[in-house]
Amino acid sequence: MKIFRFKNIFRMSSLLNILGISAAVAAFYVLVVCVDFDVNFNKEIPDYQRIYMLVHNNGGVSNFERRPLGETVISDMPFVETGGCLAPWGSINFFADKNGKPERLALSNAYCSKTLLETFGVKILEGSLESFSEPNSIVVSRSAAENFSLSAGGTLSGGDTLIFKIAAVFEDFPKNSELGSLQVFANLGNQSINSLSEGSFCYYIKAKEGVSGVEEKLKENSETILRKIYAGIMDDFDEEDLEWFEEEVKGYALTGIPLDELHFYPEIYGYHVRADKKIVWTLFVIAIMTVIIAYINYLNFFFSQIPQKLKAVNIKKIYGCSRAGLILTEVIESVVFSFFALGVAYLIVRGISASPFGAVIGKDLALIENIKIAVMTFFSVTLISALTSIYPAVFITGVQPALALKGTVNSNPKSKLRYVLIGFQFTASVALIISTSFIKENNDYMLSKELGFNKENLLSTYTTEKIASSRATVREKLLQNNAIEDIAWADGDIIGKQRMGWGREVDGKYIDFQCYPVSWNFLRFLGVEVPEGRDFSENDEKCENGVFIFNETAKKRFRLTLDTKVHGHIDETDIAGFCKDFNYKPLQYGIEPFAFYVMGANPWRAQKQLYLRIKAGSNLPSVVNFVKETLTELDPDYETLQRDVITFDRETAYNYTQETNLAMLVTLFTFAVLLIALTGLLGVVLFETERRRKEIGIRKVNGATVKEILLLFNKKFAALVLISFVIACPIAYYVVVKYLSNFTYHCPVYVWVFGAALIRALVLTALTVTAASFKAANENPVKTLKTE
Amino acid sequence: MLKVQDITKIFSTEEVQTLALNGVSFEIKDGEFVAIMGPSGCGKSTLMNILGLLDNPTSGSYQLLNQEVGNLKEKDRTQFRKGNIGFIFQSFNLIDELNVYENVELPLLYMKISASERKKRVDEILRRMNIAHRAKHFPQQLSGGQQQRVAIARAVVMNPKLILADEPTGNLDSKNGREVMDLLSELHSEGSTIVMVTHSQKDAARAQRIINLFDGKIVSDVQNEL
Repeated sequence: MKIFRFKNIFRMSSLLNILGISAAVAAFYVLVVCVDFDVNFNKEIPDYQRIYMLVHNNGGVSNFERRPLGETVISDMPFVETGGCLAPWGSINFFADKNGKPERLALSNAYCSKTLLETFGVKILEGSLESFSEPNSIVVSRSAAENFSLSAGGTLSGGDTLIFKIAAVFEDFPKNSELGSLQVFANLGNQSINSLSEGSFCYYIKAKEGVSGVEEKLKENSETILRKIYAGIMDDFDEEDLEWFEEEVKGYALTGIPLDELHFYPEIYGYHVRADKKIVWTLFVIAIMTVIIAYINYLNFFFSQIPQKLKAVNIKKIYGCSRAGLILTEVIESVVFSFFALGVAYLIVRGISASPFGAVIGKDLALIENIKIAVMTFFSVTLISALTSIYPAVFITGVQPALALKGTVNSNPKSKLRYVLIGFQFTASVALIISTSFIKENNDYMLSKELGFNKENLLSTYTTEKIASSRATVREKLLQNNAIEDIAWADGDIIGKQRMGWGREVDGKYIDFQCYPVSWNFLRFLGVEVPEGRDFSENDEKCENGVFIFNETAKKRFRLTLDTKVHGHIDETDIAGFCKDFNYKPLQYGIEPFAFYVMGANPWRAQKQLYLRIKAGSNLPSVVNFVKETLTELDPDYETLQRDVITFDRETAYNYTQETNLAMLVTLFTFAVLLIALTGLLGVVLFETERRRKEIGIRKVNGATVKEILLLFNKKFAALVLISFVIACPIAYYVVVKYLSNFTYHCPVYVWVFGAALIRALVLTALTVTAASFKAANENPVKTLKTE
Repeated sequence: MLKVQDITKIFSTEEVQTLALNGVSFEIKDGEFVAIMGPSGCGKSTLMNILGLLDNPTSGSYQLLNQEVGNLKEKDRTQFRKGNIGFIFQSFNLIDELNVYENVELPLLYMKISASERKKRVDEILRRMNIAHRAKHFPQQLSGGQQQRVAIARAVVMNPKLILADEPTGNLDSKNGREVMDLLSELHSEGSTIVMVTHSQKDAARAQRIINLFDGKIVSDVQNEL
């Protein structure tokens, strides 16, 4: 006897079922890979449980510390074994010689201390970490060494005459770790080692074995550490300074974030897009739900096969096949079925990898890279398939053969359960449609919201030191193009999660604000109003100490006036005016104290971010090319460094990468769940029409038209959709409100989105039901009412 | 009432063609009670399907109520059937999920008759068929005779011009069979036109006229002396 009937696989309902299971398994695999990436972030770093990032309170959480503070924690705190420093802001451009011309190498890099690499358990493959202490020394990862034929003892050009010596080659850090995306580390040396004003460094510490409560210990020692680092200069403090210092000590709280938690702090700067723990676990629950929904179909599929199988199975019983043998046959059939589904799922995953979804997911989905998850998925699917088939198998084989063959057995068990299960699928689908719609609506809202300045026809490009130092020439050359209306300069993007934070003492009080150095014309360029005081003037760029314009929030919170003096980058200086509040951070965040700052005649560094306002309706590609060509003419490095000119929308979109990725992932899952639910529905309606063929015939004989028969089926499932909608609405509402609460500014909870989701669900259901019942509705009743 | 002229019906499969009806012609007048007889496979049910507008003849003419209906499309056949033809089957063909009342109400629903009118008509026919006390029962709770009475009630509830009965007593014992035939005779006496397929000489004897089919052809068409 053949154990498995191969042709079963190719029946329509089987194909639909395989498609449903495959979509679910593929979606499950992709999501679990994503969840695994986030949940196990940093967990492959040796002793990760003992590693913490130093952070302090700064109207939120800030991970940018002053070096004396970080070094004191490492050297003085008895519970700290070691620690190191990372300077994430100083990226180096490396070059290789290509046909006599420098070619920029795409090597992600950062400055750090040797002890940082040791803290993270770096594995040296070639060379030695000892020589990493030397100036201009670097270490490169194995992958970078392989890609660019680098080796320990060799050199790498940093442009002009700057040459870096490769001290060692190290094994790449795990991709899902703090340092995982960095390929080159340059020696930080003693840069700013004694500076109490340069708070731009990230510190990681490793606690001694067996030490617990590191966060508390750091908090408790905040004051001691601060007093220690200021001890050297406190002798020069006058009474006022001392008062300010006591205030700072009082308000300062140092603590640490465990390495395995760090990934879930979106405000902490890092080289990865941070994750939201709630969202990660929600996605995991959705992954599980998707599989459950698919197996509901599977169960329905088996139930629907009972009438056909009942007779055949019982004839086999009569001819001597044991019940155990028959159950085993059913189970094996189901398992082989799942193998087909796994094969199709594999193809779907490969398809996702190669599609735009793959780029957005940003994780390596290859089975070999996720072998544990692949094996777990394989065995789970096989096991669930086997278990799911047992109940129907036991039912079929448990019937008395005589009754089964006579046809007096109710061969349609659990029909109500089947509708409950379909209703469950509909509920999940509708809730997902609503949630996905809101994620998309909110993304659109964020990208289109009025931010308090004119963002229309705005372009930006990150230039070079040389270009940024020739502002007048740049202006003259760029404005020769009639499409360009105006240009302005700034120190980084207008919208950003993090920018320079300045702590200053004002009238004996400690104030903390974000500082954004700009060119004098920046506010009028952006259209930011200055209702009090004056806007910057060209003369401000010639003054010695620079000039501030604060936002309204800073004015109110710190009770600033036009007479208040605030320490700039050199000395105390003036406030020229107060501008209206505007959104300078992504819309997840509110408006905090903020200052525009014109640095005057002695700037720290040139402001390299160039903004251009172009005329409405200009030919964008042509303007972009003109800007690129002009800037390259001024500095060929602009082209070598592969700088780009982008629209403001694109610049802003970067701040919403996490949300965009989430939207893509949830869309993928909604699609999978919808596909599964609709294939399940198709299966149920096909079964239902087959079971009710005779009834359809009777109704037609008694005057029912094809339309009325189709309506009969549609009404039933439309009612199911409506009930599911009523159940899904509060669930979706809860999820949506929770999601939107992550944003200080978010779109309203639109009622129409709920209505649209209902209409979509009804239309899809109607199409599916109509497609599945169309044949039966058009069948000649003569065939179905034929008397045997 | 109806007139068929030289109709044929051929069933084709990939391999064979079967000639189910071969040049059948006859006429049935208003108020007639005609029995169609013949051995299995002679074409009785095929003829009934064509007369009931459930199927079209392959060739020939079929006029019903003075209208050519032999080539109507499915949609038009459905429209024509509504209210004009009532069907009674050997296996009753009641819908298990509907109760007696709902089964009888079914053709009225499709005729878009108002709820109050439907109730009036259904109550009346159930009383007449002596089955009103079972109105809330489902088919599986009824005996064969009761089920066939429900089927007859459904067939006549919309006062059809033509009643087609395909072996109406085939699944019944003699007592119930006699009762069903009494009902049909009663309907006939009230003016209904009835065409009945039967194997039973006894049942056929109740008809005014007996048409005998053999191999798709009419071999005899005789008036019955009641």
